[in-house]
Amino acid sequence: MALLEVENLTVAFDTPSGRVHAVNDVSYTLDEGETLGVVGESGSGKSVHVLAMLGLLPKPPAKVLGGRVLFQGRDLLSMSQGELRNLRGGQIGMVFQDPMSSLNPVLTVGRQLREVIERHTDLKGRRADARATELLELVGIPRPADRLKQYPHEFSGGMRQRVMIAIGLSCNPKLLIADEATTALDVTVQAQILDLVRDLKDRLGTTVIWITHDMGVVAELADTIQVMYGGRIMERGPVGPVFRDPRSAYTWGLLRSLPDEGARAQRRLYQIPGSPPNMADPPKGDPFAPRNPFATPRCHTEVPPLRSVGDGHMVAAWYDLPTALKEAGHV
Amino acid sequence: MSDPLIEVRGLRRSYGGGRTLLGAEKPVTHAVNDISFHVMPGETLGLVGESGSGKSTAGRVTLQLEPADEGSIRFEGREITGLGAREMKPLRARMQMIFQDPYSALNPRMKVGAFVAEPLVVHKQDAHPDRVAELFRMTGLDPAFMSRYPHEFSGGQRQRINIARAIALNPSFIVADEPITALDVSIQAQIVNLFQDLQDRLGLAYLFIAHDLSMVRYLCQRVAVMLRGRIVETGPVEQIFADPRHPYTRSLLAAIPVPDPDRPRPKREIFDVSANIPAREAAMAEVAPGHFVLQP
Repeated sequence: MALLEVENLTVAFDTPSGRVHAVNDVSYTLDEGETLGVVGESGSGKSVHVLAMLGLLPKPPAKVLGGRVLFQGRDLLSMSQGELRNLRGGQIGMVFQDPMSSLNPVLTVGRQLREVIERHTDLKGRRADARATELLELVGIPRPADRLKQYPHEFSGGMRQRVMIAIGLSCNPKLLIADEATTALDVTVQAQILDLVRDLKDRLGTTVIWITHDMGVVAELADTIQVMYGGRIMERGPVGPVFRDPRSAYTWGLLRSLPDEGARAQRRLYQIPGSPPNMADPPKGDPFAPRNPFATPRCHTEVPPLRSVGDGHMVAAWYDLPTALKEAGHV
Repeated sequence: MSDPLIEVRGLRRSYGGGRTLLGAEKPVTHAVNDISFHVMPGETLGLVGESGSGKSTAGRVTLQLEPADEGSIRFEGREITGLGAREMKPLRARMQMIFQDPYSALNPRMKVGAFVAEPLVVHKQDAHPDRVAELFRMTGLDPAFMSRYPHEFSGGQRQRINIARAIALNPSFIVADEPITALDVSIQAQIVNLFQDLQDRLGLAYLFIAHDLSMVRYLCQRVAVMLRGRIVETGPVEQIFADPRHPYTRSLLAAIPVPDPDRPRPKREIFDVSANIPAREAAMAEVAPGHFVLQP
C-alpha cells in the first residue's frame, strides 16, 4: 500500500538573479515498508524536494509552484503549519546532516529527547525519560543514563548525530527521512547506523527515505533507488536492476566512476565530464545532456519524460543506453 | 632502494595541559602519539582513521605548520624540526598542503590568477602570466579565467585552483587533507585523476589523508591506519586489504559500504574505539615485508 504519493511536485526559489527551478515535476510513490535511496549531487533537488514536502522551506524565497504530496492519503502541501508540526517528529521522523545546528545548545540532551517524546506520545515524565534512555542505548551510545544529563557540546560529532537519529526514531515514525545523515560520520559509525536502520525496518516495518551521494550506502540499505539531477528524476527502480543495468547515462557514469577493481587495474577512474548545472541558468532539455557523451540532438531541446524499461524500472532519456554503449564500444 | 623523501620518527604532538585561571589542571590530549612513517619519492601514502584519530594533526606537523613536541622529520635528507623561519622558507616551497574545503582556502577578494601566482611572488620566482597560464592548463583550468574571482567557479574548479597554487613552486611532497570529501561525486573522479596526472608528470609524492577507503585503495601504494593518535597498522595497500591484522583495521574495512546490492550483508562486528586505547609501550612488529602491526 502506498504510504507516500508525490505528484508533480514543482518547487522554485525567487532570488535576486531570477527564479531558480529547484524541483521540476517530481512524481513517485513510496509503499509502506519500502526503503527509498535518493542519490544526487548539489542542485539535484534531492534535499529540497523533501524539505518542501515537510513544509520546512522558508517561503519566500521558496515557492511550491504545483503538485500534491499525499501522506496516508492527506495532502501535506495543504496542511497548516500546526498540523505539519504534529506530523514531523511524530509519524514522520527526520534526521539531517548537521547535528549541531539541529540541537539546542542550552538544553540537556535528555530534556530535548523528552520534549519530543512527550509531545508526540502518551509517555510523560519518568516514563518518557526511560524511553529516552532506551533510545540512546538503541543508537549505541554508552552509559545512556549519564549522557542524558549532558549538553550537546559534551558529545562528539558522531555521538551528536546518533542523538539526532534517536530523536528521529523516538516516536516510532511510520516514515523516516534522513538527508546525508551519516555523511559526516566515520565509516564504522555509519555501518552501525545502517545496521540499526535495517533492524528497525525488520522489526517495525518503518518506511525510509535515505538521501545520500554514496552508491555504497544505497546498495547496503535501499530497496529502490531514485537518481536525481537538475531537479528531476533521471532514473528510478529496484536497486538490483538499476545497479546491474543502468539506463540513464548519469547513473551509468556514477557507477562507472567508482574506484573499483576495474579502475585499479586500469589505474584510471572513469570521469563524468563537466560540472553540475547552474540551476539559475539550467540547460534546455535533459539537464544532463551537456555532460552526456551519448546525448542525441533531441536531448538538448526537449525534456524527456520518465518511461518504463522494466518492472518498476523507469528512466528519463531520449537515447537508449544499451544501444549507445554498444555503438561506443563500451560493451 | 632509494632514500625516503620524507621520514618521520617518533612524532608527538599534544594539546592542552597547564592550568586554568582557577588552578585546575587542564587535560592533555595526545593528538599524535609517537608515530613513524615514511613516503618515497613519487609515492602516495594513505592516512586513514576515525575523526579525532590525529590524521590531520599528523599532516600539519609533518609540514611543520605546527611544531612537534618530540620526534624527528627528515625531508629530502635534512632534519627540519627546529629550523627557523628563514631556513624553512626554501623547504616550504618543496612541501605543500591541499585542504578539504576548496571554498574557504581561497581569498574571495583576490583574482584567481593572482592567487595562484602569490607563492611565486613571495618566493621571488617567475610569476609571469605565461607561467600562471601554464599552471592553469596543467590543472585543467582555462587560462582565460585568470582574471575572475573565486565565486564564479564551481567546487571542482576551486579545488583545481588550490592545486594549481600548491604546485606553483615545484614541490616534491604534498599533504592532501580530505581533498575530495567536499566535492560532488561526479567531480571526485576528475580531481583524483588530476592528482595522478600531476604525480606522473612532476614525480610528486602525496600524503593522502582520507576516510574514503575505496579511494585510498585505488590511489595509494601504501596505507597507515591511525587510532587515537597512534599508527596501529601500516603496509602495502593491497596487503592490508587482503590481510588486515589489527582489529581496528578489520572493523574499518568491514564497514566500507559496497556498491553491490547483490552482496550478502553479514552482521558486522564493531570495534569499540573508546575501549581500545593502544598502550603507551606498544610497539610495531613486522608481520610481512613492509607490513607492520602495533602489538598490544
